[in-house]
Order: sequence, then structure tokens, then C-alpha cells
Amino acid sequence: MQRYIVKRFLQSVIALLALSMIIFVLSRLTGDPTMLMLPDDASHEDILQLQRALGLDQPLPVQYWIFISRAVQGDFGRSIKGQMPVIDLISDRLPNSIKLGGVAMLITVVLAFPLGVIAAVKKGTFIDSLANLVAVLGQSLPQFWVGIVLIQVFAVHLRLVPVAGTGSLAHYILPGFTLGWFLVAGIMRLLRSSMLDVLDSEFIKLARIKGVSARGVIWKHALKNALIPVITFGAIYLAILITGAILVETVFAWPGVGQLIYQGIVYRDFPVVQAVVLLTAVIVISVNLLVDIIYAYIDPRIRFG
Amino acid sequence: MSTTTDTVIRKGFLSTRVRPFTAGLRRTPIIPLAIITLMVATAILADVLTPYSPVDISLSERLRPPFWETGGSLSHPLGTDPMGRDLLTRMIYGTRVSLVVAILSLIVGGGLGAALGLISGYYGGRLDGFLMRAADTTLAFPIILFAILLSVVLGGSLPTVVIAVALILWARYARVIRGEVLSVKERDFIAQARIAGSSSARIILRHLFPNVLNTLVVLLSLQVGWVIIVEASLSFLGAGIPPPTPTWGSMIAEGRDYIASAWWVSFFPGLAILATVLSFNLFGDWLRDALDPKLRQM
Repeated sequence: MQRYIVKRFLQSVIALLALSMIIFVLSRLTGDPTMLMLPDDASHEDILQLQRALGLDQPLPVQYWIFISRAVQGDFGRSIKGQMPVIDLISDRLPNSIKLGGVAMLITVVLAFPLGVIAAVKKGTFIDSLANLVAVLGQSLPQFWVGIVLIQVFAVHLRLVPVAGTGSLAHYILPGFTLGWFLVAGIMRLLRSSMLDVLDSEFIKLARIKGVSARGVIWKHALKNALIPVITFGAIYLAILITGAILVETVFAWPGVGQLIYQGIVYRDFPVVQAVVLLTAVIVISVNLLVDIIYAYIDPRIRFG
Repeated sequence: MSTTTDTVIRKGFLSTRVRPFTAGLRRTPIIPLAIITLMVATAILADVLTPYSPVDISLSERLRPPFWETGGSLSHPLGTDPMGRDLLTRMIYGTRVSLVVAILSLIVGGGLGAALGLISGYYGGRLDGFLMRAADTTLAFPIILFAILLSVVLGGSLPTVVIAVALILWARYARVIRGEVLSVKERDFIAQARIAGSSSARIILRHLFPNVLNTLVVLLSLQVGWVIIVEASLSFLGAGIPPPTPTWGSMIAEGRDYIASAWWVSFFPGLAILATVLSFNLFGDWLRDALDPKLRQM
């Protein structure tokens, strides 16, 4: 177990280093990164000064070392727009993103799990078709467009909820649902098919023969085992959630990290985009590592395999 | 075919094979195919189909509603955008962008992924370990961020978008094709080819590749819709092909400030995305069931 964890940890560190190198190379790809970091009307002295401050007069490996050691200390430079330290921008907004993501995950758990289980148990019925429709539409609808249409219907015409922004609980309804639904679609589909597999297996038949109630078989014995593939895909769902958050926060003017990266695109604010990408990589890779360790703990076949 | 499969399932044989999710759709998907044909024809014939230019601004015509609303007219059937450009015209040209980006990035990404999958599966060992780790990392990373980074550094353009989407795509192909190769390469005819003195390159190209082609085609068809959505998302965020080129995603973004006053500007391009993507997805599902049902778990 220990060896497995150490191995996976080292792999994660390598993945992160590789990614930081790609980002570093990208930042140098267009030639002088000062051109990206300074406004167009910057004077010659400004450029020289920034070049020295960034260590651009040093050889490339040294530059990479400076880049990475500053990043580790949380120093991602200043944003082009507003000249704020990038790390402050991110830490101001991260709580908002986490809150919205939490609401989306709550919606996902409340909807996806019952729907997926019931669709499997009542295969071929109305509920199953409904679940199918949710899944198919979830794959075919552009999330940002769904957000806009929901605003048009529920905020502009029916005036049930606010159009955008934050403040009250009502502000969470539309963005939370838009963000959550696409996770619901994916998880439900996977849970349905893995439920069907599990319901067909020997130990479920045994549990039935032993006289466990139908409810007990489905919600305890079967669901527990059907969840394993869902956990395996956990990292992919996190990626979907983050991608979705960028779009949804942009549509609903939600002051989170996703909206920050949108502003980064609009102003071509390279330091901001770079920092968000690096921090996301750290989060994603750590979560992956954690999932793998939990998984190995639950299922010994992994760590000895 | 559908009845045999169903009987097999009822008998309890192949217990892991679940009834297809879209059982009712396994007959030839006529409506999706018709929509796909229509979209392809629209993309090719865009210049002939509309009298308007997709980019010329005419502010006197701005924000005309669709023809059935008061103030609308048949000269602009779906109305005009904030710059006075005919919405339908821009949607027609947008079809071209969506399909071109989808086809190019599937060729690049699918080709790269398939090649790496073949090599990884055939040679195995350290290379295989490394490539599959890289593929897993790519799959777990919200790669749209990477596409955004590319576009901020290089500026949005057709090649940037294609490269970005291809970088997202390769991993799934590499994984699935590698899995296929692992099972095919144990078969006798591969050993025979090797005994007959075939080089590795020849075995990969002449013996392995034809055997994974079905899987590749199914995977490509299943991902057309997804690629269209990724391109639209990038365009919506302003990280795609820059204006004034009409793309469905950027049209939706242009309508965002007019949600209350001019709903049609962002509504219709979204409908075009939905129709196209849904058609490709249903077609892909059907093709998978016909050619390679074991991919259903994907």
C-alpha cells in the first residue's frame, strides 16, 4: 500500500512538472512574455525593467526555475488589467466558485442517484425513458445556451428568480441547476448501466433468496457496488464540473474563478489565465491522487495488481 | 438484429450486456441523417443559399425580430443581430465553421490518438505505461483551460482551435484503440505474420489497423457532436475563431446582452447547435450498435 501511494505520488508530481513546463514553454512561445504582460503603449524602459524583474536576461532553465519557485510561493505576478496580484484575484473568487460547485453537486446527488437507480430497476418504463431523455439532451445541449434560455424564461419573462449575480439563495437556483444538470446526465447514465450489471450478479440473487427486502437489495447491496465505476470516473466528472463552471459563471455573471478566466480571455490577460490553469492542475491532480488512494484502499486488486 | 439481441438478453446469456439505452432508435435514424445531410449541404452551398453577406454591418437594420413578430418581415426570416446582419445568413455560414472545425480536429486528434494507441498497444512496456498515464492525465484535466491558454497566447484562429480540440481528443482514441490492439495482437494471424517475416510497421499498418478501423469510425462518429459543442463553447468565451467570422458560439455570445429585448439573437444559433449535435449523437449511437456494440460502455 505504501509503495503504491509513493509511486502514485511521484507520478502526480511528474505530471504537474510536465504541465508547468508546457505552460512555461507556451508563455515563451510568442517570443517576449513582457509583450503579453504589459499594455501595448508600454515604454521601452518599462519593458526592460520587467524583463529584469522576471529574470528574462537569464538562460531558459534558470528562467523556468524562477517561474516555478515563484509559483510554489503563490506568486503568479500581476494581472494586466488592474495590476492586482493574480493570487489575490483568485483567492477572492475561489469561495464563490466552491459554493456554486457545491450547490451543483448537491443537485447532482439529489437527482442523479435516484434517477439512475430507478431507471435501472424500472427498465423500459416511463421513468427509464425520461432518464434517457435527460441523458441524451445533456450530451447534445450547449450548457451556456441552456443558461441563457433559462434566464429568458424564468428571470426575464416569469420573474421568478434574479437574472444574474450573487446575493440571495435565489441567485443559486439557475446557475446551480445549469451546472448540475450536465453532471446529472453523465452520472445517471453510468449508474444505470452499472446498476443493471450489478442487479444481474450472483450475490444479488443470493441476497434475494436469503429474503432481503427488495428495497434493501436495491439501495444497500446493489447501489454500493454500482457506485464503484462512478467513483472511478470521479476525476472526469470534476473536469466536466470545472469546464461547466467557466461557461456557467460567464453566463450568470457569477464572480468566481470561471468568470475570472473569461475576463482573462477578453483582456488577453496571460498571467491570470496561466495561474488559473496551474492551480486547476494542482487541484485536479491532487483529487485524482486522492481518488486513486481511496480506491486502492477499498479494492485490494488495484494495489497488488 | 434487434430482436435477436433482446432474446439473448432475456435468456440471461451475456449477463453484462445491458439493453441498449436507446433501444427504440436502432432502426436507421432517418431524421438525424436528413438533418446531417441538410447541414452538410448548407455548409457547402452557403454562398448560394443567401443573398446577404454574413459580415457586412448595416445599423439601420439592427435587431429586427423574426418574421412572425410585429416589426419583422420575410426579408429577414429569423431577424437581425445587433449589427443589423441577417441572423439566418450568419447561422448558415456558421454551419461551415462548425463542420470544418469538427472534421479537421477529428482527423488530427483521432489520427494522432489512433497512431499512439496502435504503437502503445503493439510495443507495450515503458512507452505504453508513459503514454497511457499521459492519456489518463489528459482525460482528467479540464482541457478547455488549455485551449483557452493557447488562444490567449497565440490568438484565436482556425489552426489554434483545431490544435486545441485535437489535444483534447487524442487521449480517448489512444486508450480505446490500445485496448483493441491488446486483444487483436494475441490472435494467430499476427503471430503468423511475424513468423512470415513482416516488419513491425507492416504488422501495425496492414494487420492491426484494419482490425481497429470499425472502432475508430464509431468513436469518430460519436464525437462529432461533442467537438461541435467544444468549438461553440470556445467561441462563446471569445477563445475561438475571432469575429467577424460567424460561429454559432460567438453568435450566442453576441445575443447575451439582449436577452430581455431581442431573444432571437442567441436563441436560434443554439437551436442549430442542438439539432446538429443531437443528430450526430443519434447517428453515432446507431452506428455503434451496428458496427461495434461493445463500445456501449464508453
